[in-house]
Amino acid sequence: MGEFIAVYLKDKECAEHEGCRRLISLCPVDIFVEGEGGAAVDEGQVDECTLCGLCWEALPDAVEVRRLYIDGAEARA
Amino acid sequence: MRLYEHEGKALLERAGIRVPKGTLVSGSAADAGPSLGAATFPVAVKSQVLTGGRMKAGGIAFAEDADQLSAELTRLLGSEISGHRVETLLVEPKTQFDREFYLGITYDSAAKSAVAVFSQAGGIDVEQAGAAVKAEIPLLLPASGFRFKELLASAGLQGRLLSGMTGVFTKLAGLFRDNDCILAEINPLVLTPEGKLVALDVHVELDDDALYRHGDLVKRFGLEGRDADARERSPLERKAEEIDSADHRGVAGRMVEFPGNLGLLIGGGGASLTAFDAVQRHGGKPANYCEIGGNPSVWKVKELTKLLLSRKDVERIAVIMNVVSNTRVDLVARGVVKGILELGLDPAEKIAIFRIPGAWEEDGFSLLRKYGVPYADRTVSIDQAAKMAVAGAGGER
Repeated sequence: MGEFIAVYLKDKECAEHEGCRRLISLCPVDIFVEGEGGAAVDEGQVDECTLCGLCWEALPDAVEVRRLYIDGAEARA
Repeated sequence: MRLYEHEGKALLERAGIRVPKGTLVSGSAADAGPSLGAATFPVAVKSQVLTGGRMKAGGIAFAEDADQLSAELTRLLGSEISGHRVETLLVEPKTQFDREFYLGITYDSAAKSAVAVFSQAGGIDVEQAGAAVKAEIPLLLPASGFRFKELLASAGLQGRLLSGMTGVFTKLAGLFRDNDCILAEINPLVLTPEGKLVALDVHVELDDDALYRHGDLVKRFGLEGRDADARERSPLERKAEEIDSADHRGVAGRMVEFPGNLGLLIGGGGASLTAFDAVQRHGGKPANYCEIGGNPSVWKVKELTKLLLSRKDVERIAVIMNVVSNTRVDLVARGVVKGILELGLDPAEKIAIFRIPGAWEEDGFSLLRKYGVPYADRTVSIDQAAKMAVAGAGGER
């Protein structure tokens, strides 16, 4: 979790998605990195999130992004 | 970046334009003895400082013999000319001449073109002399001589002088184009009794943003680390440059330090100058000038914020930009707040005002509200925001 943004990868859904690694190349600000068995979140990078929506549009069940400065509101809302 | 006269003359010589053969002198008059042993008198002794009006300011002298030369070296080395310390002198044979001309090439932003300017009244106070002629010179391709010939003919030149001057102008245009100059002017270009055209003084300014293409010049003239006004960049300014170049996204750097206590994170261009002036007008003392724009990363803004606040005398910072469309308010807000938090400080205390309206301002203002940072939207002018920053009051929280 960053100071302003939280990015969650839901393990179960992500594991079920063969394309989860796609997030690594999809994210324009390198928030996703190689992890054990799939993609992982680089917590040091999440505050660079531009809320572009590419990740949650690609894998709506696996990714959750929250704006911590608005009471943790989900970004896609 | 403005070049010294001797550097400009080296470029002229390389371009094939005749200049007096000079000798550079630095250190003390005694040090100069051996290098000037074979000087042919009379000589001109010229302070190498980056300012105009050197003659009027006493920075250029003439010596008829070795004693006079020694006296002038002693007088000028280490002196101050228009606020610039004289470290180096250029000593060259005094050139006899019959006529003085001005010729220059620069960019005219209104015309969106390079322009060539010529005057038959070169020398001191050429600006007041008037009677200059001007023509746009497309420089996408190497300059053609006929354009200069047309310009010079319109100024009344003819015969051998027209032909010779056309050659010099064409070479100057080549120098301007090949070195990515923003200004190249010779004043005066003199006509000697022997009919030769000689450049007695030159003013060359290079485009800072194109310096990367001219490693040879950077190395030859030691331009690395030289500021636009030839002062050495401070460690803080160098660090800002490192931060800016470490990430290609946007601009967050171009720092110039001042001895004030209010740090400024301001947008580039006219808005930053407006903000800087407004802070001063309201009695504030800027600690720096800098530029943010083009949507810099959160990291970049964060690092710049930390750098500014690393100066012990910087009490607070003001974040002021014009209405932005290509920079995101929320990302700048994140960077500034995060930088302050990483220093263990309170954003509400350290940010005097945050006035960046525009793209993603709702998110940006929400973030600032969470941390109690005073902010202002586009209903507050840059001038009013500067006033709030200086007064330490105003803005929503």
